[in-house]
Amino acid sequence: MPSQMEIRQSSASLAPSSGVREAQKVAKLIDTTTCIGCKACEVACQEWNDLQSEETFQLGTYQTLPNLSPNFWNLIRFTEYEQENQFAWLMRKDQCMHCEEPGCLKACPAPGAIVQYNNGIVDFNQANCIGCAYCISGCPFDVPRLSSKSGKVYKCTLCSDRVMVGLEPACIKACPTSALQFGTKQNLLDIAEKRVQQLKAQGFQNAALYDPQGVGGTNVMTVLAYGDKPEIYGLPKDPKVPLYVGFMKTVLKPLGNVLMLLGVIGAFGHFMRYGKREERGETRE
Amino acid sequence: MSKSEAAVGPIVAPAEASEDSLLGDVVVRHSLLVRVAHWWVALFFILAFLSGAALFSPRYLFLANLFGGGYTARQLHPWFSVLFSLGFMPLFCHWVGPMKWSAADGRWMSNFKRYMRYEEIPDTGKFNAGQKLFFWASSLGGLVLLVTGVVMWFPTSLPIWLRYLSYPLHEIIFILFAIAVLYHVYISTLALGGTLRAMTRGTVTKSWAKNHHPRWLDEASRK
Repeated sequence: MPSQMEIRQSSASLAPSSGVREAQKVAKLIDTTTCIGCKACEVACQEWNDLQSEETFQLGTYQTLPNLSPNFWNLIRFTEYEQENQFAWLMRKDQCMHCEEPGCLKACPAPGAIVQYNNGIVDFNQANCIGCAYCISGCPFDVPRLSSKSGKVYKCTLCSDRVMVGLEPACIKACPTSALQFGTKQNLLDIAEKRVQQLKAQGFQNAALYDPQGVGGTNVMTVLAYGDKPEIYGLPKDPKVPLYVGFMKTVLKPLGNVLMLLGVIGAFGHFMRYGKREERGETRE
Repeated sequence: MSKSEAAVGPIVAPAEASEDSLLGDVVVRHSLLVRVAHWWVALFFILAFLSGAALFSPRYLFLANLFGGGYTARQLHPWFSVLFSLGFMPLFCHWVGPMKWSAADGRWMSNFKRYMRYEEIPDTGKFNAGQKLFFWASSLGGLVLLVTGVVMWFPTSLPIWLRYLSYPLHEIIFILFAIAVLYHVYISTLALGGTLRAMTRGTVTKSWAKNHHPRWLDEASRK
């Protein structure tokens, strides 16, 4: 593992992974208000990650494909929004949000299949993936995709291979309007705040930054002109790691281990106290 | 060996021997088909249990090595349960009648502690209340495991709330099932002598039948 990408959390790991080194959180900022829907980021993503291009078809909108797929990790979603004499074409970059508290990682039972680096990037390691698809249900944003070819799960890596050598992700490099920016999370929060103020001054009173705290914040943040209604962009209003994930991890598994151990102790204790019941009345030599 | 075997009847019940009938000094308890189905179910329970335990907690991940690693354990696990269910169905159909709960079972349950202290409990038919409970619990538990397992097998084609329900439910039943089977195995092998042969040879001694299932022995004797 490269020195600047130390692992902070690893799936199904019994040992703490975080070491002594500290790294600044990196983040991606998506400004939906300056996205022109050119899809350069989609192409850059496919090219850098050596993903075969999927056959596109006419959806009747400015959207390339209907959904994310195992070899399509970055989709500009298109929505026509019409309300109160307002009409807008909404472009939203759908991809892994790189949550601070990743539901996928918490749900994963395969050690090291999902890792979160010190800098906040959440990455899938297909070599350790067992193809159970638990991460798909654990993700509040419906991002991971199971490949029928390999039986393993794929998603945006935030170009961890580029970031680890000091480059920005491929989509950032391709964006012609700087709707996509890359930097430290703190730096981008400041930039986003300024942009939100600008938008408010321009009449978008509800403009806001989408950095949902229900998952501890995300390292992919989105500026929304209609920030009070993230649903119209296809974003959940208040995403949280599904309750069952934590319930299974912190309650069921420890409780199950204790109960099963008590079961073994109980049977052992019974055997030590009462021994084996021999057949009575039987003639034995 | 052969002398004492001769005193308790044939080594293995003949395939044509009908259940619940006397055969010399032994009573036929389980037909050949029931025994084969039982061991089929037992085999695939163990395989599904071990491959499932590997996914339950990283503490048990070493078990996945028995199946060629985590990926193959995950791939095989649902198929083990399909085969388990196939064997369970004939057993269920065969036993659903005799497993019907009766007033005597309530009395047996109130005497459960005495039974575990190896005291005798009169008026017990072919199956005691403990066995009936295990039968109904494993039937219901098996069904829940199967349904929730199918949801987990094909998660992306099913609604999200069904998945949210299935994952924890599958795990709860896994824990309970593991404990139930532990006691099922313990009682029938280590604890109660002369019991295991009912599932291997198909027969039990009259004295065993008298100790554990006196009413069943009476009924068999009257045949």
